[in-house]
Amino acid sequence: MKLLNHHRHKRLLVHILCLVAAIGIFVSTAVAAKTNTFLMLSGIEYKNVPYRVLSSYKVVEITADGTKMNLSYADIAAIYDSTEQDVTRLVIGRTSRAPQTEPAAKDSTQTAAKATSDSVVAQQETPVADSVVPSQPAPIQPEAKPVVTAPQQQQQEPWVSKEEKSYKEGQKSKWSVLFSALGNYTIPTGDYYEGIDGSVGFEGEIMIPVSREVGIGAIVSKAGLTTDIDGLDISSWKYFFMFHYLIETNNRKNLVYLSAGAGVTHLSASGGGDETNFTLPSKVGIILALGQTTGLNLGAGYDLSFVPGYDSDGNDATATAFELNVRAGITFAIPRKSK
Amino acid sequence: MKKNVSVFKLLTAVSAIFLTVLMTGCTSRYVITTNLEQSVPPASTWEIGAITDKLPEDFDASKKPTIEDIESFKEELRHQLQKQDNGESADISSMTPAYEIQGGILDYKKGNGFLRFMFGFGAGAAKLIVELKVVDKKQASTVFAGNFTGQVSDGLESGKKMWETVAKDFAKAIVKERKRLQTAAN
Repeated sequence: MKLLNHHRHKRLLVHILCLVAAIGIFVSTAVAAKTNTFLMLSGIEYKNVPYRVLSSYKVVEITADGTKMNLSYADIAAIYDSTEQDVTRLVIGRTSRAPQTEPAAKDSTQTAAKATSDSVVAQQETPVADSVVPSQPAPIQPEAKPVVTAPQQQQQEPWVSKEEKSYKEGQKSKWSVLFSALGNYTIPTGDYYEGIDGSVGFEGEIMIPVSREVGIGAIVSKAGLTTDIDGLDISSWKYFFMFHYLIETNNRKNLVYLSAGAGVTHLSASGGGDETNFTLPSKVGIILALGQTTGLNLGAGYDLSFVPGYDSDGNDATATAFELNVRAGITFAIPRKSK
Repeated sequence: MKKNVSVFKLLTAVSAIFLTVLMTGCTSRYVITTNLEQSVPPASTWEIGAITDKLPEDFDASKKPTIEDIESFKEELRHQLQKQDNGESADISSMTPAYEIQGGILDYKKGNGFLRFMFGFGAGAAKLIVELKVVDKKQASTVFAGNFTGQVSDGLESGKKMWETVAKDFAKAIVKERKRLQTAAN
């Protein structure tokens, strides 16, 4: 019985907490309404009205004389607080209009002039609420009362066509050449590398973007390979020619690469004997911008080598050797010269 | 015991009402900024005017919608308005457009269909906010305006869907406003 009562109390507490949270959200939304003065591009001014920013619609909801109104960000010329400081940026953030570097004290003549110059004055009157105070007319057209915003939109559409966009921005990479110095760790896998373990190596890479999305390059790499056999060292040098598919991310700061190529892997043993095998490498990675011309290069790869051989009957028995590798290093990029 | 049960029920009901009220305020895809206050001819007779760039000034130019996007949006607007008119305008060719639809793109995110498909949970989501106005060309006044939003976060939907959503919502909003006017007149 005691346990049952405890359970009920717990449920009651959860309900109360939920209700308090719901009321809290509701009240904070309703009460948080501050008051500011909104000057519209049309010249209409809503003085000291409570407002609520609906950023997901780019709208400010104001209450003027008990009537709720929605003001589109695009129609607002400026917002002033009670001290007449411009708080437009603070309230609605970035806008499509030229920013004011620092909040300026309100000057009604100036702002009205701005509103008028931005909009075309129309003859029609608009019903104005009691709390709506039309701002002073601009000096250039003192007889006219700025009211309507409509024809101001009659501007040229600025959009760029897909073709033009790709021509302007898609054809050229930001970089002319990228050099990378990397450390790597190679993991030999499969039967061919039985008894051989991976280790740390190093590599150098040059990447030349021929367009924004395609690049060519070369890699010279020393893979770290070790054996359990005393006195036997294996040296593995790789020489690859690479094709890169490049994806610029984070506002063209970072560069993702998906690469494939062809080349050779030269293996030599300290006890004598060496072989050179045809290899198909593939890599994936990202160059994260550290500065204007340097980046952190992180990647992984998979190299497939073909080892020619013949079985006891003299038939072709080419074996395949696989190597997985991870790499990390620094990339130095030389920016493309702009015309 | 009974008292406790009724308290539970009351609290549950009150919580549900509060949450419903809060949620209702968040579900609409558009906000009307200028209500329609005068009767207007069928929407299919309206001219589709400029859709301008009202994106933040530091918006990456390469990430803006293309002219092809805008043209197809205008086509969609035309299509949806004609659809909503439901044959109301018999001969629109003989009428000189007295009203024009003007718009401004306030926010745009092209999104990435691959990311939407592979990961979901908002990754690669596409987003659009458009200010659309109906302008009386003679009076040079805005007779109806609103900010309309479109979003695509489903991996199986194309980014074009959000443009369609906005056009559809706009056409429906016009119909709704005209019905409201008619009801008020009656």
